Amino acid sequence: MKSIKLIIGFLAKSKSAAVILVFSYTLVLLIANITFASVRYITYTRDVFVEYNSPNTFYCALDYDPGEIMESDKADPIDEKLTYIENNAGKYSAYQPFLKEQNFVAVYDGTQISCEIYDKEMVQRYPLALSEGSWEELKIESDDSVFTAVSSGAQFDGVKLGSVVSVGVNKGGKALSDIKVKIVGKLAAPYSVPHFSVSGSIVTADYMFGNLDGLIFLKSDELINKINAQSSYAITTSGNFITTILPDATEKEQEEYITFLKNNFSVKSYDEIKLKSDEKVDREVRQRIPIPVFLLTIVSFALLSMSVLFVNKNIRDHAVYYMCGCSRKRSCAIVSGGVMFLGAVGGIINILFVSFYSKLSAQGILNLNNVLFDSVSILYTGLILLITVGTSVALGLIVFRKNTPIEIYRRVE
Amino acid sequence: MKLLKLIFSRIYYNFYSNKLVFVLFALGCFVCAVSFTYLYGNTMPSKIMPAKDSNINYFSFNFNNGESLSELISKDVFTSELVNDVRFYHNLTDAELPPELNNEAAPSFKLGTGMFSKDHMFQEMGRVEFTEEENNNAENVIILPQDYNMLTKQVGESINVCGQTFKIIGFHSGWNQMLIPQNTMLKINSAINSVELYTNKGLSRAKSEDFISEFKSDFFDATVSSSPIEMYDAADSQNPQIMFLLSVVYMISVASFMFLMKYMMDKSRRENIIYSIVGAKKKKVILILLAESSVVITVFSIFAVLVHFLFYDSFFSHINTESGITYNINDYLLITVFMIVLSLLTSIPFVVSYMKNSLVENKIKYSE
Repeated sequence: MKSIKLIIGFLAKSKSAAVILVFSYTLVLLIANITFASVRYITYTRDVFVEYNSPNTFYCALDYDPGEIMESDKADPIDEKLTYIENNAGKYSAYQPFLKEQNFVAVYDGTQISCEIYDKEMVQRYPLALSEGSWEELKIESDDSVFTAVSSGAQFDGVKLGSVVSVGVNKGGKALSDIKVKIVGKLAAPYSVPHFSVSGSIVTADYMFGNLDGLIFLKSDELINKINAQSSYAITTSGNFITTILPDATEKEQEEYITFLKNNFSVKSYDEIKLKSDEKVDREVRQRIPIPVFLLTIVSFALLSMSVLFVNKNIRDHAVYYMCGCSRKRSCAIVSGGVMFLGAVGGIINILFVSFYSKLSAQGILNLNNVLFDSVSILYTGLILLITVGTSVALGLIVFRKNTPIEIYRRVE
Repeated sequence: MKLLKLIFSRIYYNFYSNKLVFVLFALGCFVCAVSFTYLYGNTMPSKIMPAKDSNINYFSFNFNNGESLSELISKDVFTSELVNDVRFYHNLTDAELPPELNNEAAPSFKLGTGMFSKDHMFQEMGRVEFTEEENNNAENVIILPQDYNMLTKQVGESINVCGQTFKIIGFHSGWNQMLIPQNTMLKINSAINSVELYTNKGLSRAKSEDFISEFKSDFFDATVSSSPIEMYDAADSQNPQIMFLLSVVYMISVASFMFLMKYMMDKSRRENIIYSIVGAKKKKVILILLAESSVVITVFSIFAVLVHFLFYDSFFSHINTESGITYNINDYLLITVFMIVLSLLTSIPFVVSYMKNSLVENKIKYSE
């Protein structure tokens, strides 16, 4: 307790300096963490895209009239339109199945979650890393109306593998109807899954993935019927999808099929997406990293300066403590504690933020969209802390130990 | 002269008696100044704008009296190496519009032709380029904009424009341009009402003005509807807000290091008390203190700007957020003046708080 009081006394010599430094250090570290997490996410999605897709992959976007879709009396008009085109595509020798993304909104534990429905081919194409369980456990058939699913996000942290949970599906109005789900796997951070919600003139890999706080189901008629029975409009199909061309098909067959795809969709090839994604990664690194680095440099220098300032302001008191019987070791510990406190507050706040971000995001309290916070982010923060605070403490101690307490006392007297 | 001598002797004393603190203060000022110089070039819209080619390479002109396409394409301004995408447009009248668009609150559709670069033409469906054969034979093929009005049409179907039937070969991502091959446009012989062109690289304000002058010398009745000059004007209008934000960031950064300066002031308290005892007014002492910190800050700000200037090509240009950002002498002067003024403003509260005590209080504080 006495040591804590002495550390507080150490910092109280210049309260405003300590407050400004702690505030700016915390803020700059936060800016740096968010920026790095955002750039890492773009790099991560680019790597996932390249790892799991072959060069004969195409990202296709269906152009539709939103008014026509709204007016349609069909449950899922986009899916119907895609299925119709896919049936025609099946006539081409180079045809390969369309990997579509369907989703619906559900409620789990009082919080809204998103649920993805993937074909088996989609799961095989993107076997994203799981922290627990396995994709093989994901079954098409339900077991006595208990469906299997892989969970994603912090919402399901407390749920054990193999547990059965209930998720509510909107049954028109506010009433919810439960479906039973057995958790057979948990997606590893950054909880990013194929989410083909974006199309446009330029498509990059980060547009093709999105953070998911919810569940991933395998597509089955039983599941679709079960959900549709609750609400006809619960399931939404994205108008965008991934497809490939059969590598064994002749060049002419491939060309014909590509022409067919282009006549029906806005088509982006693997090479185009990879090129634009690489450009985006380079651009993001170039445009977003330097400013936090400059700010970090400034606060690091400020921390270094403040450590020397605080030591100089307290050195006389410690000379007196020494003469009253306080050991030099203890004085050094108090000085180190004071300097460490200046950086540690910001560091701890940032580490807590990074650690709990997924929980905050899952509960809808804070959503920064596409960011990658994981143990590496905590490691980065720790490393920055170690370098800046470590150097400041070392410099503070060098200044503190330069003269003996007697010399200091004589000088100030 | 006496004041200058006094200031320099005080700076020397501060350096001599608090070497580490002085060095840290100087380093702090230097780091803040380098960062401010970097941020100035990388956040001010007027500095970033010329580095972004895609924002400053587009021109659009209207012809008050319709021009003939055959005459237009022979003009040097369109065949210059500087131009890599040019589109000639005929504004469609109600009678020329496809019947499907009648009674629609349609935007002003245009029938266009020209030399389309892939950088500015995005496929939505089908093809977005014409084959050589289609152009040579002046075939009636058309690329439609991906507008909601066109959604009822599919690739391969026909559409009637200007009384002619065209086969739809694709949709592009634009919103009101229907595109046909150049020879087809010549065959139709519709008057050209406007032209849009992209240069192969961004143009400076001066070069944009030159280009417009050159264009207008060929076409007296042409009016500019869009050009990079508008982008430059828009960027210039945003500069004050960004400069204000930068100034706030700089002042907060410098404030962290001003505590070191205040510490040095505290150390020279005895000297300041003597000034007051021998008759120096409070204002005069404040002036000395402010001048002292200003000189140190000015020296290190100028040093930082010099370092930025000298190592710009070898280092700083490589870490810029956009390649092509340039600093001229006026920028460096502006940055230096701003940094000195802002540092001075930041140091005022520190000096004033130091001098808020009376002479007797200062004397007691010194004796403690």
